[in-house]
Amino acid sequence: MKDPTQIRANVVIAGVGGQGVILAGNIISDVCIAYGLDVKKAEVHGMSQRGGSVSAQIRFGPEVHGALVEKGRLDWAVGFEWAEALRWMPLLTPKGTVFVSTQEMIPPIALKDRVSGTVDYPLEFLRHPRVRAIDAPLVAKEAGNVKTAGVVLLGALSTELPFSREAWAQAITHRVPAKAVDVNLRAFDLGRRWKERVTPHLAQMPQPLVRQVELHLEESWCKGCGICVNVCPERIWMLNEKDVVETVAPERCTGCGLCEKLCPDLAIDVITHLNSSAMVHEGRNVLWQPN
Amino acid sequence: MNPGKQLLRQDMMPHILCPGCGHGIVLNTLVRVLAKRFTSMDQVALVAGIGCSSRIVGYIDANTLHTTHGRALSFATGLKLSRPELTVIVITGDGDGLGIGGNHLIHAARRNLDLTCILFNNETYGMTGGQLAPTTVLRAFTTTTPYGNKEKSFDAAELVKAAGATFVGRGQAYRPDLLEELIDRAIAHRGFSFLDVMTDCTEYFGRKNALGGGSDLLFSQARGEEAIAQGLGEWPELRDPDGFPIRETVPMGVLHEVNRPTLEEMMGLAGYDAREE
Amino acid sequence: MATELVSGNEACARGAIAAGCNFFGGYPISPSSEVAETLAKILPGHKGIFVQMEDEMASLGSVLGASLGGAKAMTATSGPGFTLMQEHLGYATLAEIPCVVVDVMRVGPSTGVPTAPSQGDVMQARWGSHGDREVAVLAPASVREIYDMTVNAFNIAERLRTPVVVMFDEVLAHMREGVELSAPSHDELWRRPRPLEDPGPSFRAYLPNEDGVAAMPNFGDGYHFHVTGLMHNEKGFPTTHPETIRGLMARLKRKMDPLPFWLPAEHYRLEDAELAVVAYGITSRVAREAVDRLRDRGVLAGLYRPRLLWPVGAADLADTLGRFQSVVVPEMNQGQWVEVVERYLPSAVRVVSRSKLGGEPMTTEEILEGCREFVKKGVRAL
Repeated sequence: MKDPTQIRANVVIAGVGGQGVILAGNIISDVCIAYGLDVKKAEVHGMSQRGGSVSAQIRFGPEVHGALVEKGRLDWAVGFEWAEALRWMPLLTPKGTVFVSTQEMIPPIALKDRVSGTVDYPLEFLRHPRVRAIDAPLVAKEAGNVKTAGVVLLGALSTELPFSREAWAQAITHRVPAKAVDVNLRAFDLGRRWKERVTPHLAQMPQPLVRQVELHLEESWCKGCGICVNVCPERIWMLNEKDVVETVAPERCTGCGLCEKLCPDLAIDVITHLNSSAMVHEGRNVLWQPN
Repeated sequence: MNPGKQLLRQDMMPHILCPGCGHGIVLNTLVRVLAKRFTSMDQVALVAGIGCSSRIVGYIDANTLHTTHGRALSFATGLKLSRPELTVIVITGDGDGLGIGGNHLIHAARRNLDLTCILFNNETYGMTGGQLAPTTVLRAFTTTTPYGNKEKSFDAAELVKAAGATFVGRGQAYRPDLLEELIDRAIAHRGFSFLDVMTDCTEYFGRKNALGGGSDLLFSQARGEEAIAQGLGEWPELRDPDGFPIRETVPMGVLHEVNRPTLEEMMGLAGYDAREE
Repeated sequence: MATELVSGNEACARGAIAAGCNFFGGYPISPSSEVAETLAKILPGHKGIFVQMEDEMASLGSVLGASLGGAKAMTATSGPGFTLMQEHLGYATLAEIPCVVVDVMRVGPSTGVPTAPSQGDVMQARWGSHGDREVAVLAPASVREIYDMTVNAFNIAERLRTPVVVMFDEVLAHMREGVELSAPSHDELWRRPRPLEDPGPSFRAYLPNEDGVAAMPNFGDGYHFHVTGLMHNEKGFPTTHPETIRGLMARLKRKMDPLPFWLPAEHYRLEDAELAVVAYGITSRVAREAVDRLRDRGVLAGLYRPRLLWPVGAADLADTLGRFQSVVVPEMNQGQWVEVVERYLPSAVRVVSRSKLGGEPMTTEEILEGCREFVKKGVRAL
């Protein structure tokens, strides 16, 4: 392992609002400063309150000038949320490592494919040799508080950095509220044992389920009142020239069921299927249970 | 998917209600509750009076009884007393239940027989062409109040509560989830349960009062509650930005729930069966 | 069997129990209240339900609801209440729900004299409900007959799936007679026809048997069927199809055809009679005495007493009375059933109405007086 006072590296913490991304970045920065390193940290957290993407880029070394990580120069990415980590893959060095929580928190704005209710969570990502997938919330729960999932991942990251456990512990103690110090340290230490907790082979993982929506319309029952047209948040219904409703964009249906429940003529059926991902496409709701 | 659709008498559909009629939404919700609650309709009887609301029982594949104007509760009383094991649900309207059948309603509430009465309140007599109902709000236009209604309307929930009902709730067609919960709880309640359900008459009441189409009326149910909560005024002076009168609405949810011995308990009817042999 | 002193109203209540009645929904009204009071007392001991409803409309409504549940159900009332029940009587006819309605007649119109007798509801029983329908109306003339006819009424109601009215008056209701009330045996009680097929989507609740009566399941027995007061098809669902409506109305009338054979009119000393008196109910009791007294004086008189006022046993009426020159019809109204007699007898027969109003029962003397003009000269003065 490199000399901690001479190391030069780039780390990105990525997640969604509320997961503690900024806190984790501050802890890493504190540790680096403790070793006399120059640190530059850049943050994006505009949408944090709505669960939007949040990231922190930390560049450190004996001397650092620019604050942003360039393509092919990222050494470690830590994804508090699976898909958020994906965004940083193109920046990774060939030897770069990703620590990722298998937790999925889909920001509404990222939910492009509302038909199946998924964003693209390709399983290949988890098979990538540089990816360490960890069910961080589960480990955090074990530590005593599910909110410490980010610190679990920091613990995992810490095993690949040359800084001492004590330096990390000091930074955490300094950064988290006094009453949360113990649980965060427990989470950190459990995270340091990540090799015991890494995701098993994918074949052993339970089949994820994907939501698919089927719309049925009993045309002969429809009287063309237009309630569904006006009530649908996605505007997928319209009245045709015969004053009978038809779907203009069934692919946009999210399966909320408002049209079905408010149809006075019981003409609409919104049927939601939970299919195994293999039948639809890979991804979505991969659950890893600890051994 | 609405599991209640399998309870419909498919050969009777589509039903006779007008486009956008709020009653259809209550039917939609009612069959959903029935399908979730009962594995079979064998022990479920739906008893209705006369009017648009009451016609809906004919579309449900159960023991269905379409009686005379206002008197559904009296039929239901006899049926329930003779067969206490049946779940008896009475469907009535505001004209049917509060006008011609008002006397039966208060006495059914007083007796506390284990019945569920769902009153579809669209503020008018729909089937006869949109006349003044006991629930028509002040100043509203109907075919028999061409200069505006001058009579105060009933608060059905308060009336039935005062008469002694042990469960009183109010729901809206606009909120099918709340309505589903209310109907489910009303059926589960032991004793006389009553639901005042706000629905809309689009073709008569809606037109006479320039309230817009089916969805306009539906949405106005929610807007009214907010507007009145903010003290913005009274129907029908109160209008939304598009100029539609906002409907006056009243508290929603379970308004009253107490326990009191039911009539069949007082009569000791456990296990009673009037069937011969 | 012991002889008991029983009033007409009590006999009615006990007849109901004997017939297997297990539901009574009623509302107090003079002079019928003792029927309700008696049943309130004895029904619970006979596995029955008594409920006092808020008005007469609700009373008959509850009776119809109970009947659909499988109960043998009854209510009792008097003129004003009977009027309020007319809508449900029509409903029961069209929806074919068995029930028994007792009408104890009092002086009307309106509140009239609540405690005095009359026979003023004869036409109300026939035509009181709107629309057009066949009705079954029984007219007992004694305490014992009230008991028997209440049983008959239940039998007819169940067998033909129809409302049946038992009519008597304030005098019979409150009159006590020494009677032996022997309960009918199990076999003498008729039951509504039950469906032979299992429940299922093909079940048709209003598909008539050969006799025009459809099998009737109870609510709650697994047959999902619809009952409505709208014109309906054989499945019970509403229709406006003219042919279907005509067929239904014809069937509802035809199924009542056996009634006059089940309850034939009483012929009293009519075989050799030259003068016929037609009377029913309380009036027939004094008419019978008048006939006897006429015979004592050499006048060949006879009594024709219908026990079934509706439907009219027209064939028997015409066969029996068609040969008379004169028929006298005394009634405690302004002349109601006399119109039936006129309708079914040849025009050569002189039909004369003798009516009495005012709340007093008709007397023998009054009937004799009414017959005077038809008595041949030379016969001993009446």
